[in-house]
Amino acid sequence: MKHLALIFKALTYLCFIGTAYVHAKTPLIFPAQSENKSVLKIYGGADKMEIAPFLSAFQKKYPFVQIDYYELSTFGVYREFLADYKDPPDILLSSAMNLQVKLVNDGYAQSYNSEQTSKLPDWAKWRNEVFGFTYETAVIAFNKNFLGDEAAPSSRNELLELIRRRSEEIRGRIGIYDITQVGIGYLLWAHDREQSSSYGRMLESFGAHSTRVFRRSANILKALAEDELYIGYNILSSYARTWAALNPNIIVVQPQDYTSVIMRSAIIPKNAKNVIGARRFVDYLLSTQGQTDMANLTNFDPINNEVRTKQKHLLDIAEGQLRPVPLGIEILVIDDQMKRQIIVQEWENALLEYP
Amino acid sequence: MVIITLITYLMANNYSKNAAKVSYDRLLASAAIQIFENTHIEYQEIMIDLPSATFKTLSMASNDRLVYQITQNEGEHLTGYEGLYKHILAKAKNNWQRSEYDPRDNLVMQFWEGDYKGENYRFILLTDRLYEVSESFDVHILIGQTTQARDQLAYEMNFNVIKMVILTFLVAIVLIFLGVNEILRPIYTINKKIRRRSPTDLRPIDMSVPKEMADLISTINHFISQLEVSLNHLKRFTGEVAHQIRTPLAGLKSQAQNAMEENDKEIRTEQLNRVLYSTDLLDSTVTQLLNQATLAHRFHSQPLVTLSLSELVKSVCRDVAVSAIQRDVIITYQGDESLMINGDSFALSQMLRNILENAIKFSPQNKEVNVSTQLHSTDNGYIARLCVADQGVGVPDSEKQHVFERFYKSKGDPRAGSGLGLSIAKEVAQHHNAVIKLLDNTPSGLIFEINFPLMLTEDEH
Repeated sequence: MKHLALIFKALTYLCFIGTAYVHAKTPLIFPAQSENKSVLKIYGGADKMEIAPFLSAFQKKYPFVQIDYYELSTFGVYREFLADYKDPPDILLSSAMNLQVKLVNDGYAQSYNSEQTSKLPDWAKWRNEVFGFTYETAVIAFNKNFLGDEAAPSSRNELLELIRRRSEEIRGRIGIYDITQVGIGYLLWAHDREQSSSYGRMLESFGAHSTRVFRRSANILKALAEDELYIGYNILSSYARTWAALNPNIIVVQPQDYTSVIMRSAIIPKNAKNVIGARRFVDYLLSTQGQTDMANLTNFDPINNEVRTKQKHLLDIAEGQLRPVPLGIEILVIDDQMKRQIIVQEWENALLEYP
Repeated sequence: MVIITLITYLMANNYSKNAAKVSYDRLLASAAIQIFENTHIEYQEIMIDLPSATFKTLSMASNDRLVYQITQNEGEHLTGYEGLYKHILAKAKNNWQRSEYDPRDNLVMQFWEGDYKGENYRFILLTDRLYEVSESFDVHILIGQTTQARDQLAYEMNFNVIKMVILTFLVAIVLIFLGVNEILRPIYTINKKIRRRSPTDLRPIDMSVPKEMADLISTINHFISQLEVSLNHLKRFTGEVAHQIRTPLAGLKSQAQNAMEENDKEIRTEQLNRVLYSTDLLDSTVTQLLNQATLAHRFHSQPLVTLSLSELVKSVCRDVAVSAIQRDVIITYQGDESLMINGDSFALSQMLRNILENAIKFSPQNKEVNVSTQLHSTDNGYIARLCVADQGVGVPDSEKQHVFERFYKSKGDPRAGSGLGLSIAKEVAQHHNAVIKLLDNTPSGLIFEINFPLMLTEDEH
């Protein structure tokens, strides 16, 4: 309860400064190429620089559209939308599936049915109000110098075995997301808790080895590249792969016992002002053209399977080991206050004894 | 048919709504129970580790929104959508519907359906108590889900039933149509056969028909055969009538020619007298024919009425008395004054007059014709018997059966008659269900005995 109170306090505080920030925040603006412009306002959880090429590609197709992209944290997308409800964006892009689903469940999204949305498989959309547009796995990243000649563990059991075997070396060298701060971190951690019997042992093992927590995946990967960390757990594949491509010192593994999958998803708010523009954007996002652009211009993994298979650099995954986080009301369970309290408490009790 | 279809539709509609309701209510109920199973007390506080299976179960209604709140005691928030419990409680008031599905005794499950945030939700409220050593907590688990999936299920079930109903309806219509056609086909055939017939073709209809139609065919055939009998009758009758009228006419003609050529006045007078006599005879024949036609018409149109037999007999006797006296024949009457019968007085008078005239004709001079009416008892009840007895030569047994034939003339007939009188008498008797018989009188003569089935007057009871 003490921790819960702390979290609430932190959230209230964040909300307060967040609101102040909304007015001060500066969007990345893509000016329209023609006189009669229409503005498309996007709240996104993705890094500005990461998504910019994709937005430019969209604008090439629709030169009369001015895009205002507001980069926010995944929780920020949710929070800012509700905090500044009277001045809504036209599109919400976020990897926090739980929050996106919650917005839909609470009636904040509008439904859109088009040729492109109907092509999406059922598990990648809900009520035609939230649409998954990427398909990203949670991977384990290893430091190659640490592994040496040893083969990288291919499952959680092998990972635990490795930690046990090289316990002393590894102490203080495991990096994970701070689930109290990073939405995607909490989502993946809660998902692990539902999925695996190894969860308890992982928690114990991570706790016993002074695991360090991070707020950004880039920081984990940077530390891995610089031999500060040996193991990064539950890193989004899109980031991990980009880093691994640049740093031979990083090895990326999709665990074979099961691999969690998350989707970045898009919502058109019920009160969106530029509904036509928003629909156009969603259609582009899901179209073969848009998905191909996404694969080529960003590090996001497209959800379209045909596009995926053409991308040689994407890791090949056997279907059976994939455990996607569901895009539907099942996910609401991990957003339950008490559930969050229980999970966070477990996590803190295990990990924060060694800050 | 349409009404039956409508009723079936309404029943199906009701059934599918109920079925969908029951199935999805069970999902809600099992979700609430699962949540309660995962509710514990830790350090004097309630902790709920929501099972993900619960939400997976509920997500079977894949497009439905979900709201929930778990509260304790007087409604203090534990987890879920804050404020939901109080809002719904205020809205539903006392309209909760107790569940029939109570797997445990001490737990209360209630359902309510209504509007929440502009959408139709179905709510379940599970209330149970958690016990600890020192105290106990009331736990209220409120779950609401939109009703899209259950409506969809009801619609689908309904749609399937309607498809069946419509199919059954169409098949039934076709079968009924074919059936009716099949049943009516013999009638069309009969109709066609009868229409094509020439009016003189009175052969029976010969065709094989279903059992149900056989009666109709045999009735029609019976009617045709009767028609043929009547037609034959008519042909013969017309022939006879023509013959009976032509013979006196031929006689008249030759007598009239003879009279014209005769110079002797006396002989001519004699011949002219014969012409007159023949004319009378022809006149009486035509009169009788007309009488017969009149009677035939009366038989169809006049109902029988109660009348006094003796009054009728007396009146006829008075009418023929004059002609009897001319022939020195005495008519006596002896009868039961109170006898009443059902009859047509005109027809009966005709009958009696014909019989009496016949008797008078055959009576020798100074003899009596005795008329009597009597009540008789027989095995089949009472009858009224009318007898007319003369003392003439009588009729030999061999001739008796021919006496009532049309245009029959007795060999011993002293004066030519029309030959119709007695046949008319018999027709009248038959029309009154009376039996007419010829008996021999002693020492000689003939008795007409007519037995009427009796309608007793009240006095005789």
